[in-house]
Amino acid sequence: MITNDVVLVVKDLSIEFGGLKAVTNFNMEIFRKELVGLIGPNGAGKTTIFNLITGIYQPTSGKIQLDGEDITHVVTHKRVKKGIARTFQNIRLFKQMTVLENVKVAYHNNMTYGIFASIFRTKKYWVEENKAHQKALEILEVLGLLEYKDELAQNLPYGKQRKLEIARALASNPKLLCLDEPAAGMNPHETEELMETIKIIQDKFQVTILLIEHDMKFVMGICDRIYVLNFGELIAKGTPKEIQTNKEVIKAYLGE
Amino acid sequence: MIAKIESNRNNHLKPNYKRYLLNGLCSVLIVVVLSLLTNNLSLKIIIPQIIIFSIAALSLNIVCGCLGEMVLGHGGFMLVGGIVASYVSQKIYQLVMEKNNFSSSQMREIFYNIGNGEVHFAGYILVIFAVIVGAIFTGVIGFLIGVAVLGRMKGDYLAIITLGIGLVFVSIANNLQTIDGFKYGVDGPSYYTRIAGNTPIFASFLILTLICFIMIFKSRYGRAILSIREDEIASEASGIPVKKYKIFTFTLSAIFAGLAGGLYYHFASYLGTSLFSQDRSIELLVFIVLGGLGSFTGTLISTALLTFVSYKLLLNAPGGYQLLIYGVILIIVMLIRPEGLFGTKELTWDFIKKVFKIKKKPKKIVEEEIIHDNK
Ligand SMILES: Nc1ncnc2c1ncn2[C@@H]1O[C@H](COP(=O)(O)OP(=O)(O)O)[C@@H](O)[C@H]1O
Ligand SMILES: [Mg+2]
Repeated sequence: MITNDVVLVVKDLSIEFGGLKAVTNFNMEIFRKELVGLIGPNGAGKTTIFNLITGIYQPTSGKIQLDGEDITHVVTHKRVKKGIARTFQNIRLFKQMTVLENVKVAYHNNMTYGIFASIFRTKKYWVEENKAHQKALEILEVLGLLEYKDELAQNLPYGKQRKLEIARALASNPKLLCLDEPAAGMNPHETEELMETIKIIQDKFQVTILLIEHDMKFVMGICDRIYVLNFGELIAKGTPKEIQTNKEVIKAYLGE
Repeated sequence: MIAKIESNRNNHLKPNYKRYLLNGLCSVLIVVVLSLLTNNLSLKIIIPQIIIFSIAALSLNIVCGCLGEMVLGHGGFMLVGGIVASYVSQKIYQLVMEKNNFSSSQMREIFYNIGNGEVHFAGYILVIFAVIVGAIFTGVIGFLIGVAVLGRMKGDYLAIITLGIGLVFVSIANNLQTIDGFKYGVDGPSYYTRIAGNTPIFASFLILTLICFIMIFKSRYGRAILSIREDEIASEASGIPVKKYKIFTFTLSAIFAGLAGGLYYHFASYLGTSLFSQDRSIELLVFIVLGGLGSFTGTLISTALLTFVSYKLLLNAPGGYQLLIYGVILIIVMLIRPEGLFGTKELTWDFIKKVFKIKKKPKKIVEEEIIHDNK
């Protein structure tokens, strides 16, 4: 599983919000096809790290590399093109668009036809639109959303909305998929189903996954390695077994 | 699993030529019907205005309804397009006259006979050319403003900036009075380059506008723009270059606002700045809010309805009450049906089929509705 093929490198990453140090000197390496968990108490800075990796925030200091290329100052949509996709902790779907359209939006960068091709409906338009269509259907099928494809995203039940977030992220054809609390608000049955789905996704789409999750059973059951964050600082990293017995981690979670 | 995959294959997207033909025939039908109706003297004034304001309202709707940014100075863009188009057509008219040493009556035979309203082939070409130049020029202005403003501003701030831009355009037009020696129509023109109530030309431009917008919004561009309206951050995080698409939409909107302005000038030979002031911008907003932000067909229907009503009111009621009526309509719409007549939905063939539960009956279409409304 673990190879020397590094996908993402985060070096000494820090960010401050008006004096508040949300993340301090954070280091991380993610290898290809790994499934890495990022855990920590509320407010530890996990989502902030996602925002830094996806370029929504600019770090105060530090570096981010994707496949050996420095992307610290690359804007968000270009990072998506380079292969980083994400979901949001507080669901951010395109509510008034259909499930299928939600997925197709993210397929945008895999198409190249221009304005005139769209107005005159050239052959290129149809070829690429069809490819997008098939790909979107394929992704929806894997996530069990195919039957909802023509529903408006806002009409989906909560658990399905979370899955649609993952489907949309997959449509951009990512190397690295960042999932921010994908099981939040799901019941135990749905959570178990989601674990299965994530494994299938990783296999089928050959994607490296970084995920934030509170559900310990979920994290311990599915992750290859885990990073633990507290007050913006890395306090431990290792396999699920190592983390479960780590004193620092237990202290952070149970309080002193 | 296999059954599902097969159903996916059946889901293959392909051009629906039958539907294209149907739409094409309907478009021709609409143009013919509108042209016949235009023989009536009062409709001769109303129908071209309905068409022109439909183009303007549609172009406003792609920013306000589809992109989700409020624009309060849209009339200003119409004015820019009108001025440039009026300048171009008058300038060419003058050049032709001077180069060939034509007399005024000779010019009338080549281009336009203001006396009996006849327009000759060269006259049409001149107007179409001038109007397109005006549209492109307005597009360039829209693009420059977009580049300067859209990356930094959004929401209320952007709305107020567009309000300011509208005021600036109107003020410049008011004070300039002439370009290069030409009166550009604020006090009437220097030369009459006018097609007045030639409905087929106006209607063709509306149909072209509709085709452009519908095709663009049913492509990856449209999906990208709509996704920005829905959630800007998620859109960017899905790989959409948000700023680029905002500028794109803004430019597209300016182009067609400029087109509407140019058409208006060549309809009325007059661009009184009061016609394109804040009142006009607000009026256009009322059209799209009533029709449904994001609905093209809704925009067409509400524009036809309100233009017709306000025209009748203007004839019968003392001036100034028009805005009062609009204000009241706006308040009522917001209270009763805030999403407007159509919301973001469209009146499509499929929708009509569903409503009437008829398999095939190519009868009703959006713009025919407009005609019914007019009766
Ligand atoms: N845009 C912001 N402005 C100010 N403070 C922020 C911002 N984003 C996050 N923070 C702060 O950074 C800390 C970490 O937040 P977050 O990353 O959301 O935590 P979590 O680990 O629960 O995802 C919190 O104290 C939060 O208030
Ligand atoms: Mg969080």
